[in-house]
Amino acid sequence: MDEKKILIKALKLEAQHKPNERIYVGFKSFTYKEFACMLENNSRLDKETKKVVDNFLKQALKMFRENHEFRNKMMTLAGESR
Amino acid sequence: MGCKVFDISGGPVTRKEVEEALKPNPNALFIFYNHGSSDCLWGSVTEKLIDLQNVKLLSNREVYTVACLSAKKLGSKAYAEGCIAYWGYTAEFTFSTEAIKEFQQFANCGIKFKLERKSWSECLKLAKELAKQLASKLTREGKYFSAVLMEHDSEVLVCYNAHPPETKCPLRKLAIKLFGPRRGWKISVKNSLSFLLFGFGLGIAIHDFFIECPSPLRIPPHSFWYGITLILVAFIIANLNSHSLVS
Repeated sequence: MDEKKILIKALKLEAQHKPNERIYVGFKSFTYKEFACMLENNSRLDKETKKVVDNFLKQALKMFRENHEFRNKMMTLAGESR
Repeated sequence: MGCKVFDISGGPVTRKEVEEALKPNPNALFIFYNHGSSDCLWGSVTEKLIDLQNVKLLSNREVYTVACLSAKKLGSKAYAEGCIAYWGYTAEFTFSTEAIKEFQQFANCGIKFKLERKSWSECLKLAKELAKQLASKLTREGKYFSAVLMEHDSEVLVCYNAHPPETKCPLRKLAIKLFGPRRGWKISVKNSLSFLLFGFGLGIAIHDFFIECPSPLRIPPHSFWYGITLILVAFIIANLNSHSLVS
């Protein structure tokens, strides 16, 4: 599974446990459940929301590649640990 | 701490209130927690408190903001106008409800470090280190959304004093290289265009003079050189008066 898919799977699983926790990005706010769905499928989002989602994924990927602790946790959660 | 505090928080604030609070207190540290855009700080849904029109109110002042985006344009302009330090964010400030305490700790740490008499460079360094520690803690606790948001906030946090604003403009980069960060940021498009045109025009005139005149460097000098000297002096005086290079 590629890195992005691992991340999205792991974050969706986290969102399942805490569906009503919220993310605030400037004026915009989403529940974890809403945001996790947008991570998987952002094709129908408006331009601004798509930018928020893309930036979040970009940051998450950066952490996945540079932070071993975060990477291992994501891999374990997504069931990809070796 | 021995500081006098002017607190106009607690509800929507008008531009006039902020201007009237800042003007008689030229050296006061300005702390702002609310919404921001790349070129302004908002007092309410409809009113901008500080924008590119009154940004000079931030000159010779230290500014601490927890607001989205304002460091991108407003902060850069404030720096160019002589703001001593602008602490802010170049993108949206993000947080989550499950880690409110950690995001509060990060948002407030800069000003706390500053009140401990640390330099702005040290405050920025410590704030980013704290963000890393908090992101690790959130990761260990299984709060991955929050960890990502914390890292994001740290990445987009800047302090223009600890370092100058970044730019992609090659002319701006050249100006910073030639004149240093403060003066390089003060130079406007109008100034740089006038410098370029003046330089090229002078170069063309001197070049043609050397081609056309059989003895361009004779003693006594041609009146051409007196004319060029007067033009050069006039240009320097005009730019000194417009404070284009003098802080």
